[in-house]
Amino acid sequence: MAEEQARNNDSNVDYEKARTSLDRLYNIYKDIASTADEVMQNRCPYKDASSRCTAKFGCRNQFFTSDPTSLPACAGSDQIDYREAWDQ
Amino acid sequence: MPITHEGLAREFEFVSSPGERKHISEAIDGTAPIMQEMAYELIVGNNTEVDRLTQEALADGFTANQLLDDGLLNGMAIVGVKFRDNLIFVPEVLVAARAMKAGMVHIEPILSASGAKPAGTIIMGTVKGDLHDIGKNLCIMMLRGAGFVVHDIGVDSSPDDFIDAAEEHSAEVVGMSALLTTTMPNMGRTIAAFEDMGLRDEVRIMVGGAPVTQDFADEMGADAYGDNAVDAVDKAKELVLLLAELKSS
Repeated sequence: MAEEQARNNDSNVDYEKARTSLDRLYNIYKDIASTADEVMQNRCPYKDASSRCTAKFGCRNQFFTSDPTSLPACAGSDQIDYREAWDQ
Repeated sequence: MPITHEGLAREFEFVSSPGERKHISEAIDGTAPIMQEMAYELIVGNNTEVDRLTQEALADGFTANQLLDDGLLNGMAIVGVKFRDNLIFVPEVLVAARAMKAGMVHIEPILSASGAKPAGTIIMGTVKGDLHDIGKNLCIMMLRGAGFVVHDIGVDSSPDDFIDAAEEHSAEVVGMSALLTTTMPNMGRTIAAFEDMGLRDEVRIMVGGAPVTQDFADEMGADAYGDNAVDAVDKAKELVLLLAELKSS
C-alpha cells in the first residue's frame, strides 16, 4: 500500500525542496536538543508541563493520587538534583 | 489571511517574538485546512490523527512537499518555540516527535522512490536492567531527523535483543544507552555478545548516557561515544562511513 502510494505520488516530489525541508526539521530538532540539555540540568526530563511524572520507573518524588489511571504528580522542586530521587 | 484552524490559531499565540510570528504566520497563512489541522494535531501530540490526516492528504493529491512544509514542519516549528520558552517540556516534545514520525512514515516511501536514501540503519536501546529512556528517545528523535532509519528496542534490552534487532534490520550501527553506573557494564557484555556471535565486524557500536564517558567507551570496546544527542548523530554518520570503508577494503 505504501509502495503503491509512493509510485502514485513520486512524480509530485520536488526532491531538492524536500531536502531543504528535512534540513529545516533537523535544525529544529537541534535547537530542541540544545534546549533540552539546559533544561535537564535542573528539571527532571520526565516531568511534563503539568508537573506529572511520565517515568516508567520509581522515584521518591512521585506522588500517586487515588486515580490509578492517572500519572503521578512530581513533587520535585527543580532545586535539588532530581537523579538522586530515581530508583536505582 | 489569518490562520483558519482554531486550535492552530491558539497555538500560534504562544509564539511571542515578532520575527518568529512573522516567519511562522507567513508559512501557515493560506495553507489548506487539512494542513493546518495536521500541524495542530502534531503540536498536541495526537499521532493517530497525524497518521490519518497524512494518509487522507496524500489520497487527496497533496504532495509530499506540501505535507512536509505546510503540515508537519509548521507544527514542529511551534513545538520548538514552546519548548524554548518553557511552555512545554521534554515529555511533550517527545510526544510531538512521535506524531511527526507518524506522518513521516507515509512520506518516506515517496522520498525513497524519488531517490532519497536513508543515512543508515541504527538500533537503539537502553541496556539490561536500566529503565531510563529519555536520553535515548532524544537521540532517536535527532537520528530520525537526520535521515536515519531507527529501530527502537526500548529499555531493559538484553544482548540478544540488540543482536536480534541488528540482524533482523541489517543495521549498520547499534546504539546503547545507560543511565545507571550499575547497568553500564551491560554495555561491555553486549559488545562481547556480538563478538561471540561473530557479528562484531558487521556493525559499529556506539554508547552514551549521563554516567558514560569516552574512557569507559574505550574500555568496553565501543566504536564511539556520544556526548549528547547532536553528537550521537555526528558519530552515527561517521560510523556508517567507517563501516562502508571497512567492508569495501
